[in-house]
Amino acid sequence: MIRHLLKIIWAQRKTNGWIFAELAIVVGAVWYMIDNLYVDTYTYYSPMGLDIDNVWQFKLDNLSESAPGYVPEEQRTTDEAADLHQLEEHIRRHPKVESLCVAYYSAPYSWGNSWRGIQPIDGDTTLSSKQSFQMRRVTPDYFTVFRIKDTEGKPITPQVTGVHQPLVISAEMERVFFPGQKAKGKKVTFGEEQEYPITAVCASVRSNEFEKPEPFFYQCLEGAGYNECVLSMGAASAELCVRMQEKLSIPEMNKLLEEMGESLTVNNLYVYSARPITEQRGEALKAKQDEMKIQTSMMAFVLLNVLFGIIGTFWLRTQSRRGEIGLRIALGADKPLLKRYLYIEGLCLLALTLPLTIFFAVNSIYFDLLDSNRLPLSIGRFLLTFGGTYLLIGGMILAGISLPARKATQMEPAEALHYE
Amino acid sequence: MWKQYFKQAIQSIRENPLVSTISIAGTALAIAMIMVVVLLFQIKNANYEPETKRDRMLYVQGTRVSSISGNSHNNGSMSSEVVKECFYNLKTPEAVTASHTRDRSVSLPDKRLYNRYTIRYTDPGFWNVFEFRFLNGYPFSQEDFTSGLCKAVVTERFAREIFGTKEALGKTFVVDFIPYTITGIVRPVSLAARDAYGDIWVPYTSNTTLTKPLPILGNMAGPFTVSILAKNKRDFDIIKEELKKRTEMYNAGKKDYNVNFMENPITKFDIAIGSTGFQKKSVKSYLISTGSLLLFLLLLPALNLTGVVQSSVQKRREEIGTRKAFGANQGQLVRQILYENLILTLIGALFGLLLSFAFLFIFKSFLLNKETSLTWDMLFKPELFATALLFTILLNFFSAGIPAWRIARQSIVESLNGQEK
Repeated sequence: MIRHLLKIIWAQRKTNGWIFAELAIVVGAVWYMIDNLYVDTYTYYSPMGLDIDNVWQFKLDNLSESAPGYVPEEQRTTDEAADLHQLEEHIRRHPKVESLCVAYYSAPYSWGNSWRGIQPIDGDTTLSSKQSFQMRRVTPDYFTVFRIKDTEGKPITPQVTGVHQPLVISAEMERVFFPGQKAKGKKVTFGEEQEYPITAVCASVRSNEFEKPEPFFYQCLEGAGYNECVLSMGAASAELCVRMQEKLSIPEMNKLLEEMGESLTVNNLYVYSARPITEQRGEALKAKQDEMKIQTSMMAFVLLNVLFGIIGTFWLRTQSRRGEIGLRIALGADKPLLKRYLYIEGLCLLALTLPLTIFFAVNSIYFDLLDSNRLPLSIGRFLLTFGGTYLLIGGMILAGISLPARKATQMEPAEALHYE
Repeated sequence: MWKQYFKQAIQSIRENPLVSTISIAGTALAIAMIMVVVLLFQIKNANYEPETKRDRMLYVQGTRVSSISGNSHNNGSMSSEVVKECFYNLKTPEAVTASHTRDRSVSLPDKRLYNRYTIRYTDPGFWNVFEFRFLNGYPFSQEDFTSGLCKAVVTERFAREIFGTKEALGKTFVVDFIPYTITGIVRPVSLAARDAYGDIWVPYTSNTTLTKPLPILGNMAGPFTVSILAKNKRDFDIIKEELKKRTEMYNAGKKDYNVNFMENPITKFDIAIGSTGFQKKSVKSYLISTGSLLLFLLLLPALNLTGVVQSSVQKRREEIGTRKAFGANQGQLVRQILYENLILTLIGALFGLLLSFAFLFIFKSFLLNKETSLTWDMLFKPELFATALLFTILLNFFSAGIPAWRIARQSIVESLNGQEK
């Protein structure tokens, strides 16, 4: 039967040519888009390593000199670090607050980031030249606020509390610095005399839903380190992250801030608003998510074109072959079989694109057009994306043929023969 | 003649409604997708309220402060001192404005509130560069600016949300503990007009943290970006030259740092094709990326349509053969098929254009931004219809060209015989 159909396809190569060319382009384009979307979606749903629900960032600023209530330099008795610490205490006391922490360019989805050269002591000796890694400066409660656990699933905050200048490194960093060993208890240096203890190793944390986990480390701010950091970077630049006991809407949070009133101002430092971190996530991910949606709409456009193309081509085909179909009906071919002929003919046309698609796929691997960084290339990935592509387009073809096929086989033998 | 083509086209729709519907739908879809791309560009580039003079404007949206010793530089925006020394004294432009926006919570004098609004700190030149429609009151003046008075222009929507009425002239609100008095109320601005956008506009001299000299980077880095309105597009080069001289003079008085504006000033067209003040994008690279997208959107449906046109032309080969036998030449026949098909394509394109507006509104959240408001004067431009027509003719040519050429080339005998070749 297939041979017979191939003959028919070949005999009609003039009209089949256009639809075949379209299918070949479409299969390549759809496969490429599906592969992209698959990698994006797979990455998106991998665990993040932290929990930002019900966490809000309180935005801080300093009073301007012209504002009423401004405390001039000479009248101040405390420094900015003390002011920030006091503000933290005021907020912590509110019954609806569960926990809070301060970070510098290190809150999830914040725009800034800092990097620092760091070296293991007694670790991988190939890392002799200092390499820069992302550093997150955070107070010990950061791990409680964002529910970050260590590699064994235990909470981190108790492990770092009371330790002098502790560092927490990520699981990826442990693999880079101390391959095959436990990093906890080992020491690192920033290239100066001083050595810092690795107090805990946290499970993988990703910076956003579309990235894979990278090696990085937390430097915990406590005691003199905290003061030094606040004074050098300014209390107003601190990211004050607050986990609430329950889910609050933005108006509810604004109401809560209104109730807190004066306690949100300490000398010249004040809270000007609060934003849920989920909102910041929305902004950070928007560009990528928009791109995905545009790609999906392109795919819908392409598939609709396939549908139109198939309906058009097969409709005209069945019309010009009414004679042949009529003859078959008159000679007793049953209608389901005739329909099946048409369907299989369409699918054969699609199947013929396979060598071209494979050629296209091999080329995209060769020219490194596929994302192998976030998800390694594997047989499974190709089976899945090829399968998805052919199922989708095959579905479109069957839908496209069904209409002409129904019309053609509804003919009465006498009428059909009339065309012969 | 056109009447005849039109009759033929209507006849072919009647004869084969399904195929005609499909080819009209295919055309509509292709034109809709293309016009969405065109509309998005137009929103970035065209003149509309309050940015009504974009074609005469230059933008400075990036500033580099470099140490004279040459081993460090800082990319960002500029300080009020740079604005004053390099831009306010430019002679060629019609107007110059500097501004800085922040999202801040706005309170009432007797009550702290935490709803956030976009506040734009700017200068009196702003009201000359951009064209706002005042519903009430007037902008702040040069005197207000010089003395750092806390006057504000707000949108009608802001007034309604904060005071419950749009009659808010003379009322007071508080930002960062500083009380502002409303002197003017304007219509809300679309987020698409990103250089003029805001909920509140105040003189930047009203907040000393923006103008206070900073001890770092030679007091050159700060929060401001600049928009320049030229009297005429032809002045662009003269303005760039004058700015260069001003900058050199300013730098000459500085010991440790120099300021420069990299690729700036750039035009709205540069920005629309993806340039920034730090990196200019060439028209060529834009045409390659966007052009190939448009070509894809055009050629894929054209493949479909070619198949359909091919079949319908084949059916009429006896007719065409007869016409040939009576002396019609190839050119006439090709034209006939192209024109007849153009009528179908035009019907499709009309639907497509309507569909593109629908797409833009429905998918606004990811094509632009959920909060961006769309107005008629940013969408309906004569250029838009010209572009739509151009793409329609192209699509028609791509889809009907080959079948028309083929049938016209067939010999009379073959055509009359009805042989498929």
